[in-house]
Parts: sequence; structure tokens; C-alpha cells
Amino acid sequence: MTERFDTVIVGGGIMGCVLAHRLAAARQRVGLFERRGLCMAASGVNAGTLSVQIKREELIPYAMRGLELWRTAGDWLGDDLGFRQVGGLVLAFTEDEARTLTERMMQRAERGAPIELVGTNRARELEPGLSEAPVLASYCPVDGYAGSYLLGEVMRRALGREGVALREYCPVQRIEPGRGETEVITAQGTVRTKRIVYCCGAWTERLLAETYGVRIPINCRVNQVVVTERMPKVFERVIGAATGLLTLKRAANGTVLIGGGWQGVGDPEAGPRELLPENLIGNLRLAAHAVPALRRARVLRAWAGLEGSSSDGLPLAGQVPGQTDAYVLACVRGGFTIGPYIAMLLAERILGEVPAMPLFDPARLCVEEDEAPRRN
Amino acid sequence: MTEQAFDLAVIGAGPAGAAAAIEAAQHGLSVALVDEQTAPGGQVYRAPVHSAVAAGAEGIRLRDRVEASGVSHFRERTVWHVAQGFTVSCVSAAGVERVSAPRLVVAAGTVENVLPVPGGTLPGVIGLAGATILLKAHGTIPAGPTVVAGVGPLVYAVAAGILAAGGQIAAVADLAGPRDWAARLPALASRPSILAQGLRWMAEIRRAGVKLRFRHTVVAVDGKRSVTAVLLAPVDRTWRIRAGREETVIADSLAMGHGLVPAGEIAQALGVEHVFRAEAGGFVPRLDDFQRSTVAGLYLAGDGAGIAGAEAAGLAGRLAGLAVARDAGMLEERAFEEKARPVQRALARAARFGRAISALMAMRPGLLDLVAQDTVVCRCEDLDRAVIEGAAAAGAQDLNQLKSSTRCGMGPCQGRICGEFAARILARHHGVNREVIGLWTARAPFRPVPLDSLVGAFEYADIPKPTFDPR
Amino acid sequence: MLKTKTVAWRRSPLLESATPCQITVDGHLIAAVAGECLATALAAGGYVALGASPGGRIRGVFCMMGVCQQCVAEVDGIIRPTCMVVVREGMDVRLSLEALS
Repeated sequence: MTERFDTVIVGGGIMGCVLAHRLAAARQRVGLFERRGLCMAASGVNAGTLSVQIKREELIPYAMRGLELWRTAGDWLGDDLGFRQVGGLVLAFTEDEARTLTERMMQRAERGAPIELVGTNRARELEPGLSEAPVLASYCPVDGYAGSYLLGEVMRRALGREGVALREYCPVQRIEPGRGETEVITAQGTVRTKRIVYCCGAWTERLLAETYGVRIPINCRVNQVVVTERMPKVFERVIGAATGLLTLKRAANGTVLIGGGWQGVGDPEAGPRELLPENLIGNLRLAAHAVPALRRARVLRAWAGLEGSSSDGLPLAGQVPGQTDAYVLACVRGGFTIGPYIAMLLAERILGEVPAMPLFDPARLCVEEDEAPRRN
Repeated sequence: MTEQAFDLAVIGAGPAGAAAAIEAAQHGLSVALVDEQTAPGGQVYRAPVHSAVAAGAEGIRLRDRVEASGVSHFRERTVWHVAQGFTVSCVSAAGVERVSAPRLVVAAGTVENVLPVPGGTLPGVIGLAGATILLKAHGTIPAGPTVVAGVGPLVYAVAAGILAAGGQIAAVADLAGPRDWAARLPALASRPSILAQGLRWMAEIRRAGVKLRFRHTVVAVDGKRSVTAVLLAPVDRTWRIRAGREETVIADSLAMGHGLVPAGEIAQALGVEHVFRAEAGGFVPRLDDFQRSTVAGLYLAGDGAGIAGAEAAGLAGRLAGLAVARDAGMLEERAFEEKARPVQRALARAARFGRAISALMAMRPGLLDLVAQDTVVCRCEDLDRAVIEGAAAAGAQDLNQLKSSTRCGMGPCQGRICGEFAARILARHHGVNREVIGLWTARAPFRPVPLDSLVGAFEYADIPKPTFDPR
Repeated sequence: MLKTKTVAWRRSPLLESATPCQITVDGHLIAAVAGECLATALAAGGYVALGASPGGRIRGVFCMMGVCQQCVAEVDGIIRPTCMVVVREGMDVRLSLEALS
């Protein structure tokens, strides 16, 4: 007999998982289909930064609430992945960068982020590991990090507890929308569902196009991350750069994670294929420029994760254009911080409530067939 | 950063890499030979670090040939990244540099398996391969009584080597028994000189009055800050211990080894298709009859492409060098075939011998029973067998899932030391074959690299500031 | 001050007569041979415990080929496997016996 669900979620990243968890907690029958293991792409391989101040102005209110969800994750998720609010600094190294930093941080503070601009002396008081290079910094005491690599495990346990039908390593092959019911054809058989939610990050574009002929261009970023071996505590806070090209944090186990969106090579079909050494070195130089004692570390591992990004850089969270029982939840930049909260908002909408904050209607980015830029 | 272009880049200057480099250079290609050591030779013909230590004849011959070949030798370079097409990124005391070439031979050698036993992480315990390096490259021996244990010819080479250098052997424990050796005799006899050398080692060990225990294993190592005693026990045919017959041997050193695994990470990271061949040490690259891999322009040779021994490695390297010359248009098809055929024949003979040794060393099921629940398997992260079993019970199906749930293999050895045993523990837990468990995903950096060497001296303005998209 | 400890490994007699030098290990001067391997120089000088694992377990030389990383120490300010380092006069070696976790 064909299995039937209230909601089928395609894609087991952080947002798909939180959505599944929330809907199942509201007694929906939820099926989650993931072509690999849970949270193995951007959700689980990002550098684990939980920062409010590096989010876009429009997203600050969401980021604040996202952080609150992380703070209480032990309660609602059963595990907070070692969440720590160590405070964060974003550094400007030139006068130009200082101007940009000032402008952006004032806008973000206006939206409710507790950000304070600090001079170099104060910055080095806050973080003695800093070099003398920064000319200005912004400080946000609520910023922190969590162990993103633990996410898959934690979600697997949490979804199990809520009774979500979890299908890992089960690629969805085809989706047949029908009247009142959608058929989902997978590698392990066919199921039927009242509604379907696409939470497939960089892979979302193709699925929407194939299933509904809806074109929403999604830019695929291949973010490199580097980690050092355990080292003495040479800095403590989460550190970023005004250029956006650095995230730096010391994990609880003494390793240091270095990211900042430096690009590798990859695409949604093949996944992350190659790391670019010049981009690894650029990233590391920026890290050593901010915290000179990092020169004593050894680089141990590096990897890349695919991140989907919409053309206006804002999330896709809402109905598939022209469909009543199909939704998209993808492309939340800084999704490790904000994703869980946006997923909760969409859950409210699906459960017939009025979301506490506005969603991000994907229809705004729909293009006609011939307008769609070709993916490189 | 400097970048130099060549017709061929070769990674690894052991017998395979050196032979490939020399062969290609002889056909007019410009060749870069990149290696971690101070001189060519790999581990098997490892060159003495200090000139006062005498080198073996094969090593001297190999180094002379590289010297005379016109190959550019990039020594003491650690390869940390290889890009498609191919660009080899190296790091050394002098900083970072790149070698690029349209063709690449990878001859990366092997990693030794060493059984995790209680106390096995104490200083004073070294690998058998490590012990041969102590002897050959450094002329150094343990100062006190030493137990030599494990499986394969190295057990005898190390014990005899330590005795010859004036050291003291407390006991030799060979997992193989006389019957195991006898079963391989026909294949071993195809290389009479090597067989004779093995028999000489054995005779020297007996003459010295050393305890020689066939079908025995190390069960545990005693000591607080370093080794003080080694516990041995007899094993059955499957290498399961026969309880109640343990024997304590007083010693301050233990050298043990349990076979080799090909070091395949560079080829894997470049996308070479791999297949599982237990008799060659596990996952090995799929190659054609001329050492070409499934990635165009990428050739693999030596034990890193499947364990077959030093002689086979040298021949496979030559074959790879010939194929490179042919593919680069420096050797006509007919001449290539004429030159390649005898090398292929010799390689097949040498590989038969190598495989016989490899089969003798293949891990038997009982060995895994010796790894107790509280025995450290992953040294870098201090994880014992119980942690791995726990992760398996919680659903970890392969090495990568094990890694993300436990940090096993995430430390500075990058999973090279614990990987094989961790995989076998997972396989045993799930009742599947070793190959089902797979390998760690291979990625750069291929060794831990000092961040200081990677970044060098720079100005902030020199750091590129790519804008990836609007923020 | 020349520090002497129990010898763990014995170097080749050929090396004993080669050019001697001194290196510093955690502030103590020890005799070594210029051009020899640092791991063997340390063992010959009685240093077998080269560091600690995250859990505080003592670690020392294991693979001798730069793979296992059990023998790493800070050599002139850079963390390196001592088995892959060639000794030079005046080399400054720091062992870290405290766990880093």
C-alpha cells in the first residue's frame, strides 16, 4: 500500500530538518527524503558561525530570533551542539573598509542588533589575540558558534523522537503534482502527500523547473572552510572582516575554523569538486593578518560546501508560485544562524497560523524561461 | 610563490616514482620529481640522513640514476594540494611553490597497519617500517631489549638488523607459522635471492639464541611512561589467541607491523576510480595495462597503487614512464610496445612474488578480537574501540559518518593510522565486508601544513579581495 | 648545562664520531650530531615522551615517516614531525606535554 503523508519534505538540511521536526511535533505525518545523509551539505559543513552582526540589514530581526532558537536548542531540539555566545568582532583594515563597516553596522544596529563600534584599543581589550592591523571594529556580544558537524546526528535523533519518517540516501527521482495529492517517486518507492516542501538548497532550482516549469535562478556558491589542529587558546571570540571574507573561531576542542566564503569548484550536480589552493591561502592570510598567533598552527583539513543563493540574496520561503500545496524553503544566506527560525515561520504558515514575521515570497524572483541566466 | 612548468610531474621518489621519472626523462621529457625526503629512495631504499651512515646498494644505485637522469628533484617538499590538469602545490622550509605539468605520475607508497593493543601507544612502541627506517636511514637501534612482532618479512629483517648492529632482541613473534611460510614457498622460490636472504635472517636470529615464536601475537604492552614489558600469546589459524598461554617478555622497545595499505589519497582526491582488491591491500586505483588511471594524464605506480613489493614498484614505474612518453608523443607506438612488453612480463613475475608476501600478511579475522573495548584505536583523538562500536550502533555505516559523529580520523594523522582498523571494526559490527565501509573522503591538505609556511610574508594589500556576490 | 637522561636509542657508532652539536630541548642543552634526524637525537638524549594526546596520554615516535604525527614538537617555532627534521646546531625544540583539549 502506498504510504501517505501530510507533508513530504525534500532535502534534509538544517531547514528541512527543523521544519519536519516542528510539523511532526504538531502531529502531522511527515516524510523527509534526503539523497545523502542529513545535513551533509552546507548545513553540516559550514564553519559554525552564529553571528547576528554579519547578517544583512533586512535579516537582523530574523537573526536575533534565530539566535534565541539556538540558545534554547537544548530544550526544543534536545542538544545545542555546544552553542557558545563568546561575542564577535568584525574588523576593518583600511579607512575605506572602516567607512563601509560604520555605515553597515549602524543600519544593522537600527534594526535591533546589539552592535557597538569600537576603536582598536578597545577591540584588543575585548580580544587580546588581535593584531595591530585593524583600524576599526564592531563588537556584538551575542555572536557565537555551534558545532555544525554534529548537526546530522542531532537532527537524526530529534526527528526519530518526533516520529518523522526519515529516508536518508533516498534520492527523489520525480514528483507528480496532482489534484489534492502529490506523488513522490523515490529510489525506494512511491509515496503520496497532501503537500510538499522543497528544502534542497542549491538543488532547488532544477526540481522546481522540472516539476512545475517554475524558474527561480539560484546561484550556487562553493564555500571553502579550513580547520587547524588543536592549538593553545590564542583568541576566544568569533572574528569577521568588513570585507566579508573572514570568519574565524576557536572551537571548544581547541581547533580553529577559518572560513569567509572563499570559493572552491563545484556545482549542484557533482557537488563540491575541488579546493582552490590560492583561495585557501588568501583566506589563511586574512586569518593570520587578524590573529598573528595563528601562524603557529598547522592546517589540518579543508573542505567545501555548496550554498544556494537567490538573486537578491534574501531567502526563498513561501509557496511555489502558482501552487497551493507546494512550498520552497531555501537560500537563506547565513542559514546556520537564521535557517531554523525561518523554518519555524514556514511551519506556522503550513499549520494555518499567521507567521510571527513575514516570509519571503519566492514569486518575487520568478523569471520567464528565456530570462533565466544559464548556470556556468 | 614560484611556479615551474614541466612535461611530467612525479610525486614520490621511491622505486616507482624514480623509475617513472628516469624513463620519461630518457625519452626527452622535462620531469619534476617531488618528494618529502632528503634524497630519493622512498621508504624501502630510504637514504641515510647523515652521510656517515652507510647506504644499501639498491638505494645508492637508484640515487645515482636519478642524479644522472637530468630529472629536476624537488626534495624535502610536502605535497599538500594537487589541482586537475595538473598543478602540484608543495610546501617546504622555503615556503610554497608549484610545479605544473600536463601529466602526473603518483607513486605515494603505503601506510603500515599496526594492531591497536592495550599500552600500544606508549613511547617505545614503533612500527616495523619505522624500525627499518631507524636501521637503514639513521643507523640507530633501541638501546635495550626489543620485541619484534607482527607479520611478514620485515619481522625478520628488523630482528636480524638490530642483532647485526649490536642490539638485543628479547623475542620475535611471527603471526605466521612455518606452514604459512611453506605454503608460499613456490611463489617465494621465484625470487631465490630474496628467499635466501630471508632464510639467512632467520638463521641469524636462531644463532643469537633469540626466542622465536611462530603463530604468536602481541596481546598487550606494559609500562607507565614507556615500554617495560610485552605480553605475547599463541594464536590459532585465524589469529585468535589461545587463552591461558600468555608469556611476559621484559623489554623496553617493541617494533610491530601488520601489513600495508596503499596511500591513495592524492589519486582519490583527483577523482580516480578505485576498486577493492584485498590481495593488493584494499582500495586500489583502476588502471589499464600501462598504469594509466581513469583520469586522463594521471598515472599511478608502486605500492601506492596496490601492494606488490619494491621490485614490482620499480617495474611499474618504468612502465608508467614509457606510457607517459608515448602519450606525450615522444615515443612511437611500435617502439612503445616493444619496450613495454618485456617490462610488463617482468612486472607480472615480480608482482606474483609481491602478492604471495601480501597474501601471507593479509589480516585474519581473529586479530580484531585483540582490540579490546578500551583500547585506543584513534591515537590523535584518544578514541577507543567502544566509541567506534557505539557510533556503529547509533547508525554510522561508513568511515565518513564515523568521522563526523566521533572525530575519529579528524586528528593530525588525518585518519591514516586508525583508518584501516576503524573500518574493520565497523565492518565487523555491521557484518559486512571491509569494502562496504569505504574510505575517508580524500581532500587537501594531504599532510598537516604549518600555516606560517603557507601564508609566508605578505602585505594586506596583496591579499586578493574577491567579491563573490552582493551582500 | 648539559642534560643527561637514560638513553632510549643508541645511534650508530659512525655518528658518535661525526660533527657534534648542541640543541636546546625545553631550555636544556643536549648533545646531538649535526645532520642527524631529530627524533633519533631526542631518543639518544633520553627524550621518549615528546608530547601528550588530547586526553593527556604520553605520545612518542611511532611511524618514523612523517605520517602518524605522534612525534611532533615545536622546532624553531614551527610544529613539525621530529622524524622528518634534520638536526642543526642551536636548534630550539619545545615539547608540549600538556594536553590541548
